[in-house]
Amino acid sequence: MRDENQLHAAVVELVALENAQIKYSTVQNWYPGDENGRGGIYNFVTKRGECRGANSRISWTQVETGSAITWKYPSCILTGDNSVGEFYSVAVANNYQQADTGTKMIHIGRNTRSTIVSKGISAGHGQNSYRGLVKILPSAVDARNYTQCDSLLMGAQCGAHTFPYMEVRTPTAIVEHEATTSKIGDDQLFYCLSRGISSEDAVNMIVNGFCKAVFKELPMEFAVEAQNLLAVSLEGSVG
Amino acid sequence: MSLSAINQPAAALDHYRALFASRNVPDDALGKLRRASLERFLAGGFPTQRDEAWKYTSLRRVESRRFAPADAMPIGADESQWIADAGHRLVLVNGRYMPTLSTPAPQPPGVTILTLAQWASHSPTQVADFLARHDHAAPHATPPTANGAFEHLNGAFSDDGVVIDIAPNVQFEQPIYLVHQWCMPASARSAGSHMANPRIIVRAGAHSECSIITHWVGDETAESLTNAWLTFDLGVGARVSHLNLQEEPSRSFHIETTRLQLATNAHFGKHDFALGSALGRSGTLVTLGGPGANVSLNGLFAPTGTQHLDTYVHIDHAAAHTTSQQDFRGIAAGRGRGIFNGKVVVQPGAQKIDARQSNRNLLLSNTAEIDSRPELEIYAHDVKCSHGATTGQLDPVSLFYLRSRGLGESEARALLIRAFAQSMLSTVQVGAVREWLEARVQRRFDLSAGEHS
Amino acid sequence: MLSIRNLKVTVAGKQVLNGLNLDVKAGEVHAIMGPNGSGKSTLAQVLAGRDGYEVTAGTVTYQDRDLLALAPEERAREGVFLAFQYPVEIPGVNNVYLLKAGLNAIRKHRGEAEVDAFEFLTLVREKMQLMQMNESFLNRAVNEGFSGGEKKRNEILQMAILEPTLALLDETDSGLDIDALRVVSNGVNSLRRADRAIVMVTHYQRLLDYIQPDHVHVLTGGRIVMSGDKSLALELEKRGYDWVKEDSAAA
Repeated sequence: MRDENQLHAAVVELVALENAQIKYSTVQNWYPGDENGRGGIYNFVTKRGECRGANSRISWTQVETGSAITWKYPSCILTGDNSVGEFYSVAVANNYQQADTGTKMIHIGRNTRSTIVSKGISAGHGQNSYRGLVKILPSAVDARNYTQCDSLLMGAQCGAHTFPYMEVRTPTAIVEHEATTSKIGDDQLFYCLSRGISSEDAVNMIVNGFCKAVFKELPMEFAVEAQNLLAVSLEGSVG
Repeated sequence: MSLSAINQPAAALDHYRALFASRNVPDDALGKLRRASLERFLAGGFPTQRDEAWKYTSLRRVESRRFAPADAMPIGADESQWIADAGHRLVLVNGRYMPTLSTPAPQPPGVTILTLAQWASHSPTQVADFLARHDHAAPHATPPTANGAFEHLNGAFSDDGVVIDIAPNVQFEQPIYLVHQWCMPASARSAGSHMANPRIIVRAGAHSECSIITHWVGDETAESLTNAWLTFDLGVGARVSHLNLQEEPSRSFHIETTRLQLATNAHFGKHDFALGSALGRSGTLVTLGGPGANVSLNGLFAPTGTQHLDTYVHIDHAAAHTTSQQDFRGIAAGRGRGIFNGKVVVQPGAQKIDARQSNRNLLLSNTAEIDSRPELEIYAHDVKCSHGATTGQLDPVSLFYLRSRGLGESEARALLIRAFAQSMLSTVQVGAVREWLEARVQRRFDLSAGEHS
Repeated sequence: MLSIRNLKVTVAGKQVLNGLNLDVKAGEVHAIMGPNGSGKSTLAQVLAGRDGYEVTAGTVTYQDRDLLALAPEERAREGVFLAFQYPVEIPGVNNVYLLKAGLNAIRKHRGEAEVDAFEFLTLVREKMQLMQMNESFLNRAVNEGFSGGEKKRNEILQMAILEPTLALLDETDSGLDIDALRVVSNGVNSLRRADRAIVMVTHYQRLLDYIQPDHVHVLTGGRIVMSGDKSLALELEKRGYDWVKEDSAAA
């Protein structure tokens, strides 16, 4: 395998006009480097979208299992009244991978909505960060945001970090953020093992359950692919 | 950016360099520390908004003033601003300890209260040693330096302070009530801006218990900067509660850094109420240094008018089996801006951590702003960490329920705002202080609720 | 006392009440029954003045006044009381404080003197006994941590203290076991008076075994399609709401 790094720096821009809907799904499994962190892709991607028209919707869904380093923050500028921005993300950091990902939801139009669901899985020496901004401008009357941000830790050397920014300037807005970080449940694992399931399969089942809220946003064939990738990425992380 | 804007920081630093030079700081151990603090302050200057820890707070107004240390002022007791019967009283005026206004000796058994100067003259090496050990800018130090510039400024210019020592195993039940008061003679009011750099050190011996109240009040007529630096050093199994009540007047700047160092099984509980000042920043920086250490922080920040109130918390879980809870509420009215930034760090190898953080905010006007940033930085895997943050308006269903029982709209609003604040007030143990706070909060939010109707 | 004519209401753009008529006289107890989604609760909420319900047509006259023109608190002060289906939990606001503030607002409106603390507590204790409520209730926050049954009792306690002229009970029986239902019903029955009207909204006939109505109405599709005496409720119990729907469709 290669032991140098390659750079991937794509730009994706979306614009949704009146009543339009865009769903942008990504499953990323670039080479993450070897188990000692040598080699791998630097995946530095710019993704942004504007819900320009009334009642428009942009939905970003991503499953990030590959790359040595991922920096990626698909964002939505919610300009149109009643427009909706969504961000659903699963990010895996195993071995020496670093995944630093999140979103920006900028609420400008009235009655705009955004939902953020981020699931981070860290194993080995992997470092996973959620970094996100929710900004509600004074014009965004009745805006709503809900953010759920969970991290699952496997292995004593890994890390999970959460950096949410919430800037609210509209009294009629409601912004909610919840985050949890915990290690994979011993009792859940034991329960599976005691039913005759191998530890590898048990981990996969639990991790898949943890990511379910994101996977169900993916098109069917993608979701199956994503589950398989997750299993490959986490191979050997528990033993 | 104009040239003058670029030059301004340097000019500000020149002011403090010249000020220090004019003060004949002796060349003893303490003087050396002060000089080192000055050098660090000058090297870094005031933080800018590029510094993540200051992202939402601009210090331009603080930087543009030429603060000079205030003189000691002989004043009479000002019972109208102080809380009667709050406890064993210690009074500082313009940053200086005032024995005549304070509860007279003898000191309670097991409790030693000295001014910094007294302590230094009794045992200079001990003082130098303590200060050096708690000098968090030193290269070996891991704890956060979010308020570092102000700690250095305090270290360089601190003229006075109070050292409270609780002997091991002593349970001192009466709260120690420390009130800091600003007072300017008419002649000084036009003579520029003044600063005070009080240094407060609390050393709680192993298995000791005490309760400290700090209360910051002022003088409406003068522009001032209170740059307080508090250090709490808790021995094994010590239990300390701290109630901080910031009611500085409307033209003042209030910057406060509280450093906590907790040994094994120590417990620290803090209630932080930020109500006053034009610009206020309360920084609480905690190191949980031994297993079983627990810190519980809660507070209320309630900017109104054009107030800017910033609450910064950094909890460092440096040892395994440590726990922390944070519960902060913000209420922003008028053109007020409230900021909560709470960071929890779990160091590598610090397993079995339980950290919980909650921040709930109420936005009462469309010119107010709340910025919330609850952060988790976790480098260990056997942890349970969570945070939740919400910002919104009063619950419309609750409002309707109260109105359907006959309460007028502004009365119902005021009642719900008070109820939102009440959960922070009801945890205050000292009765006299709780009642004082309840009256303040009630008056304030009855006004805020009225803005709407 | 209450006269509703051709009331049409939309919620979030959806037509919920569609030309409803109802007359209630002093001293009467009316039961409004209907399947889920028929608009029963909407009627109760609109009468109490909740936001988010748009009245697109019709009138509601209460004691010769236009009820819809009044703010929720004005309605309360004029004697309209809504017992909520889902009483709201309000942490930090004391139960007794709310009761006293409400009672005094109403008394002030009537030109009566405010009650003093002692008088008030005596009154509350007496009514609490009626509702078989525990003393600890006095120190708790409004509905906070109450069980379903406790919340409903608390609603009727409030009614007993505020002494409304027109009481609207929104699904007061839902979520109650038999014992709690008996206590709540006894409370309501003790509040029946010649100068007071009660309108109960309910899905099940069960409540009417305990609180006997003078009139029973069936609400479906946003209007009252059938009215009768309490035997109508028994008929409904036997034959289900589909019977009414078919019947009204045929008519």
